[in-house]
Amino acid sequence: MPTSAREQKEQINSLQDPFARNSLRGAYHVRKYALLYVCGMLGALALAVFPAVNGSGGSSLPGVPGSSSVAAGSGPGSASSGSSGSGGSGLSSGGSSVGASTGGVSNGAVASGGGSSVGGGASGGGGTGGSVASGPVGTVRAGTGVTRGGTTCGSGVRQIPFSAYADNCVAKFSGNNGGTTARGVTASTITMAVRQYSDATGANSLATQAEVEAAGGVSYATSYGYDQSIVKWMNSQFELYGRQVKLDMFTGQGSSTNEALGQGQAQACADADTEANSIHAFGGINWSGIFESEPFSACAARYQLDVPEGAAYYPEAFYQSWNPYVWGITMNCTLISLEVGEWVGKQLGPYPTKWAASDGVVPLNGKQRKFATYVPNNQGYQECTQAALGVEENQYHIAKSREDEYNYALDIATFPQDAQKAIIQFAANDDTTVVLACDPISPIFMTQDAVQQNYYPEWALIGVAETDTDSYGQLWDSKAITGHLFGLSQLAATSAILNPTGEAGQALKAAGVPLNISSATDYFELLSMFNQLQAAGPDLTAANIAAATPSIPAGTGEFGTWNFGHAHTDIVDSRQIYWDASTTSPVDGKPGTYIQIYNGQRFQLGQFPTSQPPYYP
Amino acid sequence: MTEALAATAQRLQGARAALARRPAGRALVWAVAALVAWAVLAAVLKHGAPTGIMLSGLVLGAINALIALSIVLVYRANRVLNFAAADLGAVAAILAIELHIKYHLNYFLAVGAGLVAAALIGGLVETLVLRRFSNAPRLIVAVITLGVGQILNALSIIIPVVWSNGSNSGTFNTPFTVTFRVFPVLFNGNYIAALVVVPLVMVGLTWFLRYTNYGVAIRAAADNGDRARLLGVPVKRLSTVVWIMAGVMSALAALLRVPILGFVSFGSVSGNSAPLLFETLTAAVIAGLTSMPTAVVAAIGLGIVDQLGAWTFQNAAYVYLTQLVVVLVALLLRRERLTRAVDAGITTWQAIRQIRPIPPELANRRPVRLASSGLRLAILTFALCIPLFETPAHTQLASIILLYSIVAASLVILTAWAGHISLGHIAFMGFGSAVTGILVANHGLNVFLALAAGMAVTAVLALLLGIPALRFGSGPYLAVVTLGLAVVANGYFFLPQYFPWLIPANEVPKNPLFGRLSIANDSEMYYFCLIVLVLTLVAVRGLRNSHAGRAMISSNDNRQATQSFAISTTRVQLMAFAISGALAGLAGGLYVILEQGFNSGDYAPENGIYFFLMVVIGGLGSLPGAVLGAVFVYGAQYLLPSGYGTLVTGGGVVFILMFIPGGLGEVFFNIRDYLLRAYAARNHLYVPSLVADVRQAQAPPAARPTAAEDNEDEAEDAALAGISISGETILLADTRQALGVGQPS
Repeated sequence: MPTSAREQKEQINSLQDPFARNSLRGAYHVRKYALLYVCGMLGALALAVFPAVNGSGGSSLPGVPGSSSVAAGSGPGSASSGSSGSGGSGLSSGGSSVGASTGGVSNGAVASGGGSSVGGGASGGGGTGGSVASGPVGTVRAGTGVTRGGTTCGSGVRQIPFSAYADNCVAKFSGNNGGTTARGVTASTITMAVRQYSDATGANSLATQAEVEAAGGVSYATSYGYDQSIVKWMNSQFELYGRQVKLDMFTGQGSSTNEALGQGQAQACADADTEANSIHAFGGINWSGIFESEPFSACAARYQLDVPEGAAYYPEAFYQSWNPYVWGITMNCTLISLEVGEWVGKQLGPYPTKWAASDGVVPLNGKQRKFATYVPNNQGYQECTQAALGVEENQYHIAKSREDEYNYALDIATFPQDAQKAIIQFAANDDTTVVLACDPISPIFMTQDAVQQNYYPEWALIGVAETDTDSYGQLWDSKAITGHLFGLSQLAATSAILNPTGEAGQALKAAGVPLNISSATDYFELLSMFNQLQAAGPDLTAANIAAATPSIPAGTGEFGTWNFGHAHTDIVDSRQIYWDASTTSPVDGKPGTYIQIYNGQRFQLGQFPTSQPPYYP
Repeated sequence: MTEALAATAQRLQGARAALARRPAGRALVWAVAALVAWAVLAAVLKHGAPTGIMLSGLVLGAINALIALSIVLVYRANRVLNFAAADLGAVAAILAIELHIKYHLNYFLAVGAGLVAAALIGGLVETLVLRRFSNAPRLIVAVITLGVGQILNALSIIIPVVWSNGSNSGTFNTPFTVTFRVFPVLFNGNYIAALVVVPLVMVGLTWFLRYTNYGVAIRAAADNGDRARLLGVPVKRLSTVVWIMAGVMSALAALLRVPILGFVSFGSVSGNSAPLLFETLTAAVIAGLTSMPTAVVAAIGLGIVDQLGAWTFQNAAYVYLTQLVVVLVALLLRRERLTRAVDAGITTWQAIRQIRPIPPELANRRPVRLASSGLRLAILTFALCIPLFETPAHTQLASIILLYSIVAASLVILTAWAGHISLGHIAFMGFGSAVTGILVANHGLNVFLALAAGMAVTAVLALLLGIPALRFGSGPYLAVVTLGLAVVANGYFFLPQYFPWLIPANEVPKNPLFGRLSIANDSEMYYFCLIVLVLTLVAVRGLRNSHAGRAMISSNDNRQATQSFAISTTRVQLMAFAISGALAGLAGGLYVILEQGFNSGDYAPENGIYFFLMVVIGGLGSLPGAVLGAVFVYGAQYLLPSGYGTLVTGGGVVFILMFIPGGLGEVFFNIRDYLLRAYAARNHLYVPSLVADVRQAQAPPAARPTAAEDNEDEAEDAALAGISISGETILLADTRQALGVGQPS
């Protein structure tokens, strides 16, 4: 039997009879393309037989009807939060819910502050279409009665009375909570998945964990034990309308190393899939320190999972695109950039350099400040940097010629090379002030390179990515930063949150958890999550969380001022700090710590003073 | 006047030609050309080309040259592309640095200890691991080096953690305190150490290779390993020496680089990354993997481009782009072809054991046909049932494995048939994702049309890249160009701020197929991917049996013979690359729909190297083997419990390949052949192709011809050469016997 096309052709041509020739040609053709025809027929059959779906692009979530999302605070009835302690709190129980909640009852969110009565009900997201407990949903009484923790509720009283940040108090709830209002929510539980990275015991994870422990923290396993105790305690304090938060840990496919570098989205999405479709969780937190990565946050939004501590330091626009699912404590970088713009515009730009030394050739002190921003070249951070530069140029008239920039690759393997090139560039350009809009590892190389180049500029922190923590400051070249490193920090002063009589100290004592940097941080992160769960009301859905979040009252305490407003992150103010190499850190007992100025006063946007800050008094 | 000018010009041209004929003259011509290029760049570039930047580039390029040299050395000795070149000295360097920082050991003692450790590690890697693969296909050995690199990299991260609890914040500087400034760089002892040490190492290496017995033997073995072996050169021992040298050079590079660029205790000093691999491998490849001086010059050139690019653009993204453009231009300008010896070496390097089809004597037998069809049916049934017994998350990951299987099929076309290696197929996948994603998300285009557009764009891109890289027919140029593309794509093209019109910012919807068939949930998407994979495999198999497929294979097997049939091998290989790129683009298009979004991090260049590992482990000799590789590598990571993921990383890969050096595909086909043999024996069928290799293996040693009988000329050469190491003449006993030569005195 001829196998090649040529042999077939020869055989066909060898036939004299046209009919036989055509028949043979046809037979060969059918043999060659039979599979294609079969597939085509199967496709046509499938088209005819299979049920049609609408063309809107369905949800990938079984059991989640619709995929509508709700912009935070965009619905009618969303409330502007009252200032801390002001007025009583009101409640709307389903009074003004909007949209058709296909997933169950839309009961309206609990709103508080200023006595306003608001409804935050919204449609869709997070609903499951599951069962709804029969009977009317019970009434939520905010600002009156006695809380389930035993506190007498009143105007300005928080759910946790000693907390500056807890949601306004709600009287102990009784009655029907609506049952299964969303996936992962039943009449008695709210399931939150806890994702452990697949490489939790890998080399990079061990290295990171060693860093955490060296910085006064504890291992992730111990930290998770703390989380369980804190959650148990918060379950007893917060009003979750008959429900309890249940943590359900699983080992995922995601890799901490990959996700930290913005990679591994396939595995991150698989983990989100597991949380949504296998664990059937309402949301999720991370085993290694609660907050989740950017790849996971993006996937979680697609799987309609609530992520109370999502990717940190991203632009608000990113959170908007993930609305109403991804939230966080740490200030979004849009707000950071606006504050940095104001700080630079008011307090640094107008004044000559004071805390620099030389660029290796000429002295830098006393010269007009010229800023050099070191920033990753990925989209989110670039957006924020450009926003800051825009503020400096447009509002404070800092000339473009006074702004230098180096965009580096967010790849840990190339950090050393990029740092070396940037420092040479900055020194050559006589930049007086290097703005660290970067990860905390790069300054290790930058400061070493600066010393090599005999370049001693001012190093200006903007507080992103834990650059404002003692443990990282101690890794930077001491010679380069001593007397030269200062800036903004949105985090809490460590000494404040480690104060046994402070909020974290009291809460952790009540929860039976030792006070350290890991447990204190976890406390505040879980507090933010419980605030949202309470504020959403009995009809717990992601949409209702989004609707109710703006109504969580602002509060100022040892972790700065929290005020979600219509944003997706809590913290809204910054303190100012400088590096003191001679003082021992209260975090890890090693030399070198950040000292705050203005007695720890924090500044919100529009509040920065106009004088040069008193760093290194 | 005109005549005088013409005469002068002619004289100058003659002088230049005369100069270019001598090595020193060639160097002078190149030096003058470099100076002219520098002057032009200084005039053209925005910030000029200051001497300090050029010198800084020279220093860092020279350090990279040590790694490039080690790649060349190992390649010449073993025909192995050493992906662990940068990592080989990492552990030793970290030991030296820790000794200096933690225990305040004298700098020179610490460096000395590090270099001794590097030599030990290099030697151990060769004797314990690589020697076991002396007869394995070279691609397998290249993958072994990837595994070894990963092990060493992990160790270099763990050691400081264990040793210093991750809190080591000291600096590692040379003790030299001299400084001088060449604008804009202040050069201190660290730079000066590199400036002094690297040339010394190069001179020492040259001396070693030229004037020592070992060096001469290494060069002899490098030029023609088989011939050297015939001449009695102990190639294995030399291989150990070469790996020791590679380890030392790698450690030296790290120990010179860390003082200049800085040290972080929990990071690897090797800087193991695709950009470093790109720079060093490119230098080695520009040198044709043979010429050490060219490798050094190329590495220095790339170092200068790197520094000058950063100085000009102040943006890492543009630096990568500049480097890729320079490499493409360098390849376009490259005139000389590879020598026949090198060409042969590369062919050996690429040699892949092709899997034979079922012998025709058995193929049409009913039991064989039934077994074959049954196996296919069983595999298909298993694949169809996965969503029924797996979780949705695992089903989603299984879909991704199917997509990687498409990539594996695309690499079979390129590597197994056309004989070229791609380390950057991840970039094609990324471009396919971007184009498909943007068309579906932003323009609402039909899924199939968007996928087709993605394939078309990646095919055109492959053609554009292939033109400079495939001009020479063979060689690892394509590997370098594709790796460069992957680095640039990830660091530039896939960043939305630079290409907002290319990168989908919004969610990519899973629009129903034909407006009717839903692919919204994990199972539906899985079946869609499965159908596409099956169609791809059918199409690839059809291509293999077509005229084009045969031309691809013949262009790799015997280029000259293929050309004698008036077939343009370059065109055929370009076509193979374009088809391969298009299939990777198809996989990327499906990936972006599956994930419903584009995340540039997913297309990191390291993943492209992983593809290479995937197909080699599976077995490139056959389509099923490559697909098996994808299933194994990603299945172990995605579908098995978390601990099993280590099977396909570092130690796991080395461990697996130690027992099955031919890859998983070979095991599969060995079992098939065993069963076929048993069937043939039971039915008294004589199938020569099945038993020939068994008989060959069972033949008594005495029956085999001696080396001398094989080639009398070679034996005479051996007697005449009398190469001696350590005073002992090392002619093979066989050779001596054949020539009637007595014991050497």
